[in-house]
Amino acid sequence: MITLDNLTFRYGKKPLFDKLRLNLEEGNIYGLLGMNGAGKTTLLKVISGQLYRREGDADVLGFDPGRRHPDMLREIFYLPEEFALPRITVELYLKLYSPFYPRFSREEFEGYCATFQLDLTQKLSEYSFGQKKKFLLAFGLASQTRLLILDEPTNGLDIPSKSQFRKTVASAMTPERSFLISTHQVRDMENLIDPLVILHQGKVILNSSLEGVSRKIRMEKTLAEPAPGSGILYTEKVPGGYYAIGKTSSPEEESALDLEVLFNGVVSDPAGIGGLFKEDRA
Amino acid sequence: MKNIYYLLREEYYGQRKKAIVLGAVIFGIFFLSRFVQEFVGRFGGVGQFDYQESIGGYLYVAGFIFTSMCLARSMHTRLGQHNWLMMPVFAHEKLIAKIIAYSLIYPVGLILFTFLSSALTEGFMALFWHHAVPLFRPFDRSVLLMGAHYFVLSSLFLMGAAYFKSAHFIKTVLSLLAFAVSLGLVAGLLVRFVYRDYYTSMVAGTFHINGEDILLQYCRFPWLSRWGEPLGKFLYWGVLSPFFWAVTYFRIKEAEAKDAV
Repeated sequence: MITLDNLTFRYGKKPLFDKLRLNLEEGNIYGLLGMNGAGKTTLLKVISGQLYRREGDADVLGFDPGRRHPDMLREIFYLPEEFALPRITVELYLKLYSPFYPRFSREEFEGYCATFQLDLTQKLSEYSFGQKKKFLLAFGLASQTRLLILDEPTNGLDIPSKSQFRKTVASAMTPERSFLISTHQVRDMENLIDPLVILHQGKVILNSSLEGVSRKIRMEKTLAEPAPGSGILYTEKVPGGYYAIGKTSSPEEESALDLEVLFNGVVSDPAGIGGLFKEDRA
Repeated sequence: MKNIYYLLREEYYGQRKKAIVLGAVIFGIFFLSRFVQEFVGRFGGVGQFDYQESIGGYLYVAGFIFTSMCLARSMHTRLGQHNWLMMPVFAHEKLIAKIIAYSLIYPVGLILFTFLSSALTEGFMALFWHHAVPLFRPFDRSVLLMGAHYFVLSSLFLMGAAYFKSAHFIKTVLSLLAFAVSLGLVAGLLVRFVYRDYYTSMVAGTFHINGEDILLQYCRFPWLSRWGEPLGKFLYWGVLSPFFWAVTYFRIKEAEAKDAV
Protein backbone atom coordinates (compact mmCIF):
# COMPACT_ATOMS: atom_id res chain seq x y z
CA MET A 1 0.00 0.00 0.00
CA ILE A 2 2.81 2.40 0.91
CA THR A 3 6.41 1.85 -0.09
CA LEU A 4 9.14 4.37 0.54
CA ASP A 5 12.56 3.47 -0.70
CA ASN A 6 15.73 5.40 0.10
CA LEU A 7 13.65 8.48 0.74
CA THR A 8 15.55 11.64 1.50
CA PHE A 9 13.96 14.79 2.78
CA ARG A 10 15.50 17.88 4.24
CA TYR A 11 14.43 21.26 5.52
CA GLY A 12 16.99 23.59 4.03
CA LYS A 13 20.33 21.88 4.41
CA LYS A 14 19.39 19.89 7.49
CA PRO A 15 18.44 16.35 6.47
CA LEU A 16 15.45 14.90 8.28
CA PHE A 17 15.20 11.57 6.48
CA ASP A 18 18.24 9.97 4.97
CA LYS A 19 17.53 6.95 2.78
CA LEU A 20 14.43 6.10 4.77
CA ARG A 21 12.75 2.81 3.92
CA LEU A 22 9.22 1.90 4.88
CA ASN A 23 6.69 -0.64 3.71
CA LEU A 24 3.10 -0.57 4.98
CA GLU A 25 0.53 -3.23 4.12
CA GLU A 26 -3.18 -2.75 3.58
CA GLY A 27 -5.72 -3.65 6.24
CA ASN A 28 -3.81 -2.52 9.33
CA ILE A 29 -3.95 0.20 11.93
CA TYR A 30 -0.36 1.39 11.98
CA GLY A 31 0.88 3.37 14.93
CA LEU A 32 3.62 5.81 14.02
CA LEU A 33 5.69 6.69 17.06
CA GLY A 34 8.66 8.97 17.41
CA MET A 35 10.16 11.61 19.62
CA ASN A 36 9.46 15.32 19.12
CA GLY A 37 11.10 16.42 15.89
CA ALA A 38 11.61 12.85 14.65
CA GLY A 39 9.65 13.77 11.54
CA LYS A 40 6.33 11.98 12.08
CA THR A 41 4.21 14.80 10.68
CA THR A 42 6.69 15.40 7.89
CA LEU A 43 6.55 11.72 6.96
CA LEU A 44 2.74 11.85 6.90
CA LYS A 45 2.90 14.93 4.69
CA VAL A 46 5.35 13.30 2.31
CA ILE A 47 3.09 10.23 2.10
CA SER A 48 0.02 12.38 1.42
CA GLY A 49 1.82 14.53 -1.17
CA GLN A 50 1.84 17.75 0.84
CA LEU A 51 5.63 17.80 0.88
CA TYR A 52 7.95 16.69 -1.89
CA ARG A 53 10.71 14.24 -1.21
CA ARG A 54 14.12 15.29 -2.47
CA GLU A 55 15.40 11.83 -3.44
CA GLY A 56 14.23 8.24 -3.43
CA ASP A 57 11.12 6.41 -4.59
CA ALA A 58 7.66 6.57 -3.10
CA ASP A 59 4.55 4.61 -3.95
CA VAL A 60 1.28 5.33 -2.18
CA LEU A 61 -1.76 3.33 -3.29
CA GLY A 62 -0.07 2.86 -6.66
CA PHE A 63 0.66 6.56 -7.14
CA ASP A 64 3.65 8.80 -6.80
CA PRO A 65 2.51 11.06 -3.93
CA GLY A 66 4.53 14.00 -5.24
CA ARG A 67 2.27 14.19 -8.28
CA ARG A 68 -0.77 14.65 -6.03
CA HIS A 69 -3.06 12.87 -8.43
CA PRO A 70 -6.74 13.37 -7.56
CA ASP A 71 -7.33 9.60 -7.78
CA MET A 72 -4.81 9.18 -4.97
CA LEU A 73 -6.13 12.10 -2.92
CA ARG A 74 -9.66 10.72 -3.26
CA GLU A 75 -8.44 7.61 -1.43
CA ILE A 76 -6.71 9.46 1.42
CA PHE A 77 -8.31 11.28 4.28
CA TYR A 78 -5.86 13.14 6.47
CA LEU A 79 -6.90 14.48 9.83
CA PRO A 80 -4.14 16.90 10.88
CA GLU A 81 -3.25 17.78 14.44
CA GLU A 82 -4.29 21.37 13.85
CA PHE A 83 -6.91 22.31 11.32
CA ALA A 84 -9.23 25.05 10.21
CA LEU A 85 -12.91 24.55 9.51
CA PRO A 86 -15.01 27.08 7.63
CA ARG A 87 -17.70 28.99 9.50
CA ILE A 88 -20.54 27.11 7.90
CA THR A 89 -23.20 24.60 8.92
CA VAL A 90 -22.60 20.86 8.94
CA GLU A 91 -25.14 20.52 6.13
CA LEU A 92 -23.29 22.99 3.92
CA TYR A 93 -19.95 21.36 4.70
CA LEU A 94 -21.32 18.05 3.51
CA LYS A 95 -22.79 19.66 0.41
CA LEU A 96 -19.48 21.32 -0.48
CA TYR A 97 -16.94 18.63 0.37
CA SER A 98 -18.58 15.21 0.25
CA PRO A 99 -18.84 15.21 -3.59
CA PHE A 100 -15.04 15.03 -3.76
CA TYR A 101 -15.23 11.57 -2.17
CA PRO A 102 -17.32 9.34 -4.44
CA ARG A 103 -18.01 6.64 -1.82
CA PHE A 104 -19.07 9.09 0.89
CA SER A 105 -21.97 7.65 2.89
CA ARG A 106 -24.34 10.09 4.53
CA GLU A 107 -25.84 7.28 6.57
CA GLU A 108 -22.46 6.26 7.99
CA PHE A 109 -21.62 9.89 8.69
CA GLU A 110 -24.76 10.36 10.74
CA GLY A 111 -24.04 7.10 12.55
CA TYR A 112 -20.54 8.21 13.53
CA CYS A 113 -21.82 11.65 14.56
CA ALA A 114 -24.42 9.97 16.77
CA THR A 115 -21.67 7.89 18.37
CA PHE A 116 -19.64 11.03 18.99
CA GLN A 117 -22.76 12.86 20.25
CA LEU A 118 -22.41 15.69 17.76
CA ASP A 119 -25.31 18.04 17.19
CA LEU A 120 -25.61 18.30 13.41
CA THR A 121 -27.78 21.42 13.56
CA GLN A 122 -24.92 23.46 15.02
CA LYS A 123 -22.50 25.56 13.00
CA LEU A 124 -19.00 24.13 12.77
CA SER A 125 -17.59 27.27 14.38
CA GLU A 126 -19.75 26.59 17.46
CA TYR A 127 -18.11 23.22 18.04
CA SER A 128 -15.29 22.88 20.56
CA PHE A 129 -11.87 21.77 19.31
CA GLY A 130 -12.56 18.17 20.34
CA GLN A 131 -15.97 18.21 18.65
CA LYS A 132 -14.44 19.59 15.47
CA LYS A 133 -11.92 16.78 15.54
CA LYS A 134 -14.67 14.21 16.01
CA PHE A 135 -16.65 15.81 13.19
CA LEU A 136 -13.68 15.54 10.84
CA LEU A 137 -13.05 11.98 11.93
CA ALA A 138 -16.71 11.10 11.24
CA PHE A 139 -16.41 12.78 7.83
CA GLY A 140 -13.19 10.92 7.06
CA LEU A 141 -14.59 7.56 8.08
CA ALA A 142 -17.78 8.14 6.08
CA SER A 143 -15.67 9.09 3.04
CA GLN A 144 -14.61 5.44 2.93
CA THR A 145 -11.13 6.24 1.72
CA ARG A 146 -8.62 3.42 1.59
CA LEU A 147 -6.13 5.26 3.77
CA LEU A 148 -6.86 7.38 6.82
CA ILE A 149 -3.97 9.38 8.18
CA LEU A 150 -4.55 10.64 11.70
CA ASP A 151 -2.00 12.96 13.26
CA GLU A 152 -2.29 13.01 17.04
CA PRO A 153 -6.00 12.20 16.86
CA THR A 154 -6.59 11.99 20.62
CA ASN A 155 -5.09 15.41 21.40
CA GLY A 156 -7.92 17.60 22.60
CA LEU A 157 -10.33 14.72 23.18
CA ASP A 158 -11.83 14.17 26.62
CA ILE A 159 -11.49 10.78 28.34
CA PRO A 160 -14.81 9.27 27.14
CA SER A 161 -14.09 10.55 23.62
CA LYS A 162 -10.74 8.77 23.56
CA SER A 163 -12.48 5.52 24.32
CA GLN A 164 -15.16 6.29 21.67
CA PHE A 165 -12.39 7.08 19.25
CA ARG A 166 -10.70 3.70 19.78
CA LYS A 167 -13.97 1.81 19.46
CA THR A 168 -15.04 3.71 16.36
CA VAL A 169 -11.73 3.26 14.57
CA ALA A 170 -11.63 -0.44 15.45
CA SER A 171 -15.20 -0.93 14.21
CA ALA A 172 -14.51 0.98 11.00
CA MET A 173 -11.67 -1.35 10.04
CA THR A 174 -12.10 -3.37 6.86
CA PRO A 175 -9.55 -5.43 4.92
CA GLU A 176 -9.42 -2.71 2.23
CA ARG A 177 -8.92 0.16 4.64
CA SER A 178 -5.80 1.19 6.53
CA PHE A 179 -5.07 3.68 9.26
CA LEU A 180 -1.79 5.40 9.87
CA ILE A 181 -1.93 7.03 13.28
CA SER A 182 0.84 9.26 14.51
CA THR A 183 0.80 9.78 18.24
CA HIS A 184 2.64 10.77 21.36
CA GLN A 185 -0.14 9.41 23.52
CA VAL A 186 0.86 5.76 23.37
CA ARG A 187 -1.49 4.87 26.22
CA ASP A 188 -4.46 6.24 24.25
CA MET A 189 -3.65 3.89 21.42
CA GLU A 190 -2.98 0.69 23.33
CA ASN A 191 -5.15 -2.16 22.11
CA LEU A 192 -5.74 -0.26 18.86
CA ILE A 193 -2.52 0.18 16.94
CA ASP A 194 -0.84 -2.83 15.45
CA PRO A 195 1.73 -2.90 13.78
CA LEU A 196 4.07 -0.33 15.24
CA VAL A 197 6.39 1.94 13.31
CA ILE A 198 9.06 3.81 15.26
CA LEU A 199 10.82 6.68 13.59
CA HIS A 200 14.10 7.82 15.06
CA GLN A 201 16.90 10.03 13.76
CA GLY A 202 15.67 9.94 10.17
CA LYS A 203 15.25 6.18 10.02
CA VAL A 204 12.53 3.64 10.66
CA ILE A 205 14.03 1.61 13.51
CA LEU A 206 11.03 -0.61 14.07
CA ASN A 207 8.22 -1.72 11.77
CA SER A 208 6.66 -4.80 13.20
CA SER A 209 3.39 -6.27 14.39
CA LEU A 210 2.96 -6.61 18.13
CA GLU A 211 3.02 -10.37 17.65
CA GLY A 212 6.35 -10.00 15.89
CA VAL A 213 7.64 -7.87 18.74
CA SER A 214 6.47 -10.42 21.32
CA ARG A 215 8.27 -13.15 19.47
CA LYS A 216 11.59 -11.35 19.83
CA ILE A 217 11.43 -9.58 23.14
CA ARG A 218 9.89 -10.20 26.50
CA MET A 219 8.87 -7.64 29.07
CA GLU A 220 8.65 -8.20 32.75
CA LYS A 221 7.85 -6.03 35.70
CA THR A 222 9.91 -6.61 38.81
CA LEU A 223 10.03 -5.03 42.21
CA ALA A 224 13.81 -4.93 42.35
CA GLU A 225 16.09 -3.57 39.65
CA PRO A 226 17.25 -6.48 37.46
CA ALA A 227 20.92 -7.30 37.87
CA PRO A 228 23.17 -6.30 34.95
CA GLY A 229 24.19 -9.15 32.69
CA SER A 230 20.98 -11.12 33.22
CA GLY A 231 20.06 -10.90 29.53
CA ILE A 232 18.28 -7.62 30.08
CA LEU A 233 18.55 -5.13 27.24
CA TYR A 234 16.74 -2.20 28.82
CA THR A 235 15.41 -1.26 32.23
CA GLU A 236 13.02 1.49 33.14
CA LYS A 237 11.89 2.56 36.57
CA VAL A 238 8.11 2.73 36.74
CA PRO A 239 5.78 3.29 39.70
CA GLY A 240 5.94 0.17 41.85
CA GLY A 241 9.08 -1.33 40.40
CA TYR A 242 11.00 -1.78 37.17
CA TYR A 243 10.14 -2.75 33.64
CA ALA A 244 12.76 -4.79 31.89
CA ILE A 245 13.10 -5.71 28.24
CA GLY A 246 15.00 -8.84 27.35
CA LYS A 247 15.32 -11.21 24.43
CA THR A 248 12.88 -14.09 24.31
CA SER A 249 14.40 -17.50 24.78
CA SER A 250 11.89 -19.04 22.35
CA PRO A 251 9.36 -17.54 19.91
CA GLU A 252 6.54 -19.19 21.87
CA GLU A 253 7.37 -17.26 25.01
CA GLU A 254 4.70 -14.62 25.54
CA SER A 255 4.59 -11.50 27.68
CA ALA A 256 2.39 -8.46 27.91
CA LEU A 257 3.77 -5.46 26.04
CA ASP A 258 3.85 -1.97 27.41
CA LEU A 259 4.10 0.26 24.34
CA GLU A 260 5.58 3.19 26.21
CA VAL A 261 8.38 1.09 27.69
CA LEU A 262 8.91 -0.62 24.35
CA PHE A 263 9.22 2.75 22.63
CA ASN A 264 11.65 4.06 25.25
CA GLY A 265 13.71 0.89 24.99
CA VAL A 266 13.90 0.88 21.21
CA VAL A 267 14.75 4.58 21.03
CA SER A 268 17.40 4.33 23.75
CA ASP A 269 19.11 1.45 21.97
CA PRO A 270 18.24 1.58 18.26
CA ALA A 271 21.09 -0.71 17.29
CA GLY A 272 20.53 -3.28 20.05
CA ILE A 273 16.78 -3.61 20.61
CA GLY A 274 15.93 -1.96 17.30
CA GLY A 275 18.40 -4.24 15.56
CA LEU A 276 16.31 -7.27 16.55
CA PHE A 277 13.65 -6.10 14.11
CA LYS A 278 15.96 -5.26 11.25
CA GLU A 279 14.58 -7.85 8.86
CA ASP A 280 10.95 -6.85 9.64
CA ARG A 281 11.48 -3.23 8.59
CA ALA A 282 11.51 -3.68 4.84
CA MET B 1 -15.81 19.71 -15.31
CA LYS B 2 -17.58 18.32 -12.26
CA ASN B 3 -14.66 19.21 -10.02
CA ILE B 4 -14.56 22.77 -11.39
CA TYR B 5 -18.26 23.08 -10.62
CA TYR B 6 -17.68 21.85 -7.06
CA LEU B 7 -14.78 24.27 -6.64
CA LEU B 8 -16.86 27.16 -7.95
CA ARG B 9 -19.64 26.25 -5.56
CA GLU B 10 -17.15 26.25 -2.69
CA GLU B 11 -15.85 29.63 -3.86
CA TYR B 12 -19.37 31.02 -4.02
CA TYR B 13 -20.22 30.00 -0.47
CA GLY B 14 -16.84 31.22 0.74
CA GLN B 15 -17.15 34.64 -0.89
CA ARG B 16 -20.85 35.40 -0.86
CA LYS B 17 -20.67 37.52 2.32
CA LYS B 18 -17.95 39.69 0.77
CA ALA B 19 -19.99 39.94 -2.45
CA ILE B 20 -23.08 41.00 -0.50
CA VAL B 21 -21.09 43.67 1.37
CA LEU B 22 -19.58 44.98 -1.88
CA GLY B 23 -23.01 44.98 -3.53
CA ALA B 24 -24.51 46.88 -0.60
CA VAL B 25 -21.68 49.43 -0.70
CA ILE B 26 -22.06 49.99 -4.45
CA PHE B 27 -25.82 50.30 -4.26
CA GLY B 28 -25.55 52.54 -1.19
CA ILE B 29 -23.09 54.86 -2.91
CA PHE B 30 -25.19 55.06 -6.07
CA PHE B 31 -28.37 55.67 -4.16
CA LEU B 32 -26.93 58.19 -1.74
CA SER B 33 -25.02 60.10 -4.43
CA ARG B 34 -28.06 60.33 -6.62
CA PHE B 35 -30.38 61.25 -3.75
CA VAL B 36 -28.06 64.01 -2.56
CA GLN B 37 -27.56 65.19 -6.12
CA GLU B 38 -31.29 65.42 -6.74
CA PHE B 39 -31.79 67.15 -3.40
CA VAL B 40 -29.05 69.69 -4.05
CA GLY B 41 -30.38 70.06 -7.59
CA ARG B 42 -33.59 71.56 -6.14
CA PHE B 43 -31.53 74.60 -5.12
CA GLY B 44 -29.50 75.03 -8.26
CA GLY B 45 -27.93 73.15 -11.13
CA VAL B 46 -25.52 70.27 -10.47
CA GLY B 47 -23.48 68.09 -12.82
CA GLN B 48 -25.02 65.00 -14.40
CA PHE B 49 -24.40 61.65 -12.81
CA ASP B 50 -23.01 59.12 -15.27
CA TYR B 51 -23.20 55.46 -14.32
CA GLN B 52 -20.84 54.55 -17.14
CA GLU B 53 -17.99 56.37 -15.43
CA SER B 54 -18.68 54.99 -11.99
CA ILE B 55 -18.00 51.31 -12.59
CA GLY B 56 -14.24 51.52 -13.26
CA GLY B 57 -13.21 51.88 -9.60
CA TYR B 58 -15.31 48.95 -8.41
CA LEU B 59 -14.33 46.80 -11.32
CA TYR B 60 -10.60 47.41 -11.25
CA VAL B 61 -9.74 48.29 -7.66
CA ALA B 62 -12.16 45.96 -5.86
CA GLY B 63 -11.71 43.24 -8.48
CA PHE B 64 -7.93 43.30 -8.30
CA ILE B 65 -8.02 43.30 -4.50
CA PHE B 66 -10.41 40.34 -4.50
CA THR B 67 -8.29 38.50 -7.06
CA SER B 68 -5.12 39.20 -5.09
CA MET B 69 -6.70 37.72 -1.98
CA CYS B 70 -8.27 34.70 -3.63
CA LEU B 71 -5.55 32.25 -2.58
CA ALA B 72 -4.54 33.95 0.66
CA ARG B 73 -6.37 31.70 3.09
CA SER B 74 -6.29 28.50 1.11
CA MET B 75 -2.77 28.37 -0.26
CA HIS B 76 -0.77 30.56 2.08
CA THR B 77 -1.98 29.91 5.60
CA ARG B 78 -0.60 27.00 7.59
CA LEU B 79 -4.01 25.70 8.56
CA GLY B 80 -5.87 26.50 5.36
CA GLN B 81 -3.40 24.93 2.99
CA HIS B 82 -4.01 21.44 4.35
CA ASN B 83 -7.48 21.42 2.76
CA TRP B 84 -6.11 23.11 -0.34
CA LEU B 85 -3.39 20.51 -0.87
CA MET B 86 -5.54 17.51 0.03
CA MET B 87 -8.47 18.53 -2.19
CA PRO B 88 -8.79 15.70 -4.72
CA VAL B 89 -8.62 17.86 -7.83
CA PHE B 90 -5.92 18.73 -10.36
CA ALA B 91 -3.94 21.96 -10.01
CA HIS B 92 -5.29 23.15 -13.36
CA GLU B 93 -8.87 22.64 -12.12
CA LYS B 94 -8.14 24.82 -9.11
CA LEU B 95 -6.69 27.48 -11.41
CA ILE B 96 -9.56 27.34 -13.91
CA ALA B 97 -12.08 27.68 -11.09
CA LYS B 98 -10.27 30.81 -9.84
CA ILE B 99 -10.08 32.29 -13.34
CA ILE B 100 -13.79 31.67 -13.93
CA ALA B 101 -14.71 33.10 -10.53
CA TYR B 102 -12.49 36.18 -10.48
CA SER B 103 -11.87 37.05 -14.13
CA LEU B 104 -15.25 36.13 -15.59
CA ILE B 105 -18.04 35.84 -13.04
CA TYR B 106 -16.88 38.86 -11.02
CA PRO B 107 -16.84 41.42 -13.90
CA VAL B 108 -20.00 40.03 -15.50
CA GLY B 109 -21.76 39.96 -12.13
CA LEU B 110 -20.59 43.47 -11.28
CA ILE B 111 -21.75 44.87 -14.62
CA LEU B 112 -25.17 43.24 -14.25
CA PHE B 113 -25.42 44.35 -10.63
CA THR B 114 -24.52 47.92 -11.59
CA PHE B 115 -27.29 47.86 -14.18
CA LEU B 116 -29.82 46.56 -11.64
CA SER B 117 -28.65 49.10 -9.05
CA SER B 118 -28.99 51.93 -11.53
CA ALA B 119 -32.47 50.73 -12.51
CA LEU B 120 -33.59 50.53 -8.87
CA THR B 121 -31.99 53.85 -7.95
CA GLU B 122 -33.40 55.71 -10.94
CA GLY B 123 -36.81 54.10 -10.45
CA PHE B 124 -36.84 55.48 -6.94
CA MET B 125 -35.54 58.90 -8.08
CA ALA B 126 -38.23 59.08 -10.75
CA LEU B 127 -40.92 58.32 -8.17
CA PHE B 128 -39.52 60.57 -5.45
CA TRP B 129 -38.01 63.50 -7.36
CA HIS B 130 -39.77 63.05 -10.71
CA HIS B 131 -36.38 63.13 -12.34
CA ALA B 132 -33.96 60.40 -13.43
CA VAL B 133 -30.69 60.10 -15.34
CA PRO B 134 -29.96 57.47 -18.02
CA LEU B 135 -29.43 53.97 -16.64
CA PHE B 136 -26.15 52.13 -16.76
CA ARG B 137 -25.70 50.55 -20.18
CA PRO B 138 -24.07 47.14 -19.67
CA PHE B 139 -23.51 46.52 -23.37
CA ASP B 140 -21.95 49.87 -24.08
CA ARG B 141 -18.65 49.48 -25.96
CA SER B 142 -16.69 51.26 -23.25
CA VAL B 143 -18.05 48.88 -20.60
CA LEU B 144 -17.34 45.80 -22.68
CA LEU B 145 -13.82 47.05 -23.34
CA MET B 146 -13.33 47.73 -19.64
CA GLY B 147 -14.46 44.16 -18.91
CA ALA B 148 -12.05 42.81 -21.49
CA HIS B 149 -9.16 44.82 -20.01
CA TYR B 150 -10.11 43.57 -16.57
CA PHE B 151 -10.09 39.99 -17.83
CA VAL B 152 -6.54 40.38 -19.14
CA LEU B 153 -5.12 42.39 -16.23
CA SER B 154 -6.66 40.24 -13.51
CA SER B 155 -4.31 37.44 -14.61
CA LEU B 156 -1.44 39.52 -13.21
CA PHE B 157 -3.12 39.79 -9.84
CA LEU B 158 -3.95 36.10 -9.87
CA MET B 159 -0.27 35.41 -10.34
CA GLY B 160 0.48 37.81 -7.46
CA ALA B 161 -2.06 35.91 -5.35
CA ALA B 162 -0.24 32.64 -6.00
CA TYR B 163 3.30 34.00 -5.87
CA PHE B 164 3.26 36.27 -2.82
CA LYS B 165 2.65 34.77 0.59
CA SER B 166 1.34 37.97 2.19
CA ALA B 167 0.27 41.52 1.26
CA HIS B 168 -0.56 40.12 -2.15
CA PHE B 169 -2.23 43.21 -3.64
CA ILE B 170 0.38 45.75 -2.48
CA LYS B 171 3.26 43.52 -3.52
CA THR B 172 1.71 42.93 -6.95
CA VAL B 173 1.18 46.66 -7.48
CA LEU B 174 4.74 47.45 -6.34
CA SER B 175 6.12 44.73 -8.60
CA LEU B 176 4.18 46.16 -11.51
CA LEU B 177 5.56 49.61 -10.74
CA ALA B 178 9.09 48.23 -10.56
CA PHE B 179 8.50 46.41 -13.82
CA ALA B 180 7.10 49.56 -15.45
CA VAL B 181 10.16 51.57 -14.38
CA SER B 182 12.49 48.88 -15.69
CA LEU B 183 10.53 48.67 -18.91
CA GLY B 184 10.70 52.46 -19.23
CA LEU B 185 14.47 52.35 -18.92
CA VAL B 186 14.75 49.57 -21.49
CA ALA B 187 12.33 51.39 -23.79
CA GLY B 188 14.41 54.57 -23.40
CA LEU B 189 17.52 52.71 -24.43
CA LEU B 190 15.70 51.10 -27.35
CA VAL B 191 14.42 54.47 -28.55
CA ARG B 192 17.95 55.79 -28.31
CA PHE B 193 19.09 52.87 -30.46
CA VAL B 194 16.20 52.73 -32.96
CA TYR B 195 16.26 56.47 -33.57
CA ARG B 196 20.01 56.80 -33.31
CA ASP B 197 20.22 58.87 -36.52
CA TYR B 198 18.06 61.50 -34.94
CA TYR B 199 20.23 61.88 -31.88
CA THR B 200 23.20 64.16 -32.17
CA SER B 201 24.16 63.90 -28.50
CA MET B 202 22.95 62.03 -25.44
CA VAL B 203 19.81 64.17 -25.54
CA ALA B 204 17.79 64.59 -28.72
CA GLY B 205 17.56 68.23 -29.79
CA THR B 206 14.07 68.97 -31.08
CA PHE B 207 12.39 65.67 -30.52
CA HIS B 208 8.67 66.05 -31.16
CA ILE B 209 6.52 63.33 -29.64
CA ASN B 210 4.40 62.61 -32.64
CA GLY B 211 4.13 58.88 -32.98
CA GLU B 212 3.33 58.56 -36.66
CA ASP B 213 5.92 61.10 -37.82
CA ILE B 214 8.66 59.78 -35.64
CA LEU B 215 8.04 56.22 -36.67
CA LEU B 216 7.93 57.08 -40.34
CA GLN B 217 10.67 59.67 -40.50
CA TYR B 218 13.40 58.59 -38.20
CA CYS B 219 12.98 54.94 -37.48
CA ARG B 220 15.80 52.75 -38.74
CA PHE B 221 13.40 49.81 -38.74
CA PRO B 222 10.36 50.79 -40.82
CA TRP B 223 8.64 47.43 -40.18
CA LEU B 224 8.13 48.66 -36.63
CA SER B 225 5.73 51.33 -37.81
CA ARG B 226 3.69 48.69 -39.61
CA TRP B 227 3.87 45.80 -37.17
CA GLY B 228 4.50 47.50 -33.86
CA GLU B 229 0.88 48.16 -32.99
CA PRO B 230 -0.55 44.79 -34.11
CA LEU B 231 2.32 43.07 -32.32
CA GLY B 232 1.64 45.02 -29.15
CA LYS B 233 -2.07 44.24 -29.35
CA PHE B 234 -1.37 40.57 -29.92
CA LEU B 235 0.98 40.46 -26.94
CA TYR B 236 -1.52 42.26 -24.74
CA TRP B 237 -4.73 40.49 -25.71
CA GLY B 238 -3.36 37.09 -26.70
CA VAL B 239 -0.20 36.40 -24.75
CA LEU B 240 -0.29 38.34 -21.48
CA SER B 241 -3.04 36.46 -19.63
CA PRO B 242 -2.11 32.93 -20.82
CA PHE B 243 1.48 33.65 -19.77
CA PHE B 244 0.50 34.75 -16.28
CA TRP B 245 -1.98 31.89 -15.93
CA ALA B 246 0.79 29.47 -16.85
CA VAL B 247 3.09 30.97 -14.20
CA THR B 248 0.24 30.79 -11.67
CA TYR B 249 -0.39 27.16 -12.61
CA PHE B 250 3.21 26.17 -11.93
CA ARG B 251 3.19 28.06 -8.66
CA ILE B 252 -0.01 26.29 -7.57
CA LYS B 253 1.37 22.94 -8.67
CA GLU B 254 4.62 23.30 -6.78
CA ALA B 255 3.01 24.60 -3.56
CA GLU B 256 4.02 22.61 -0.51
CA ALA B 257 2.87 22.47 3.07
CA LYS B 258 4.78 24.91 5.24
CA ASP B 259 5.82 24.58 8.82
CA ALA B 260 5.27 20.86 8.66
CA VAL B 261 7.03 20.04 11.90
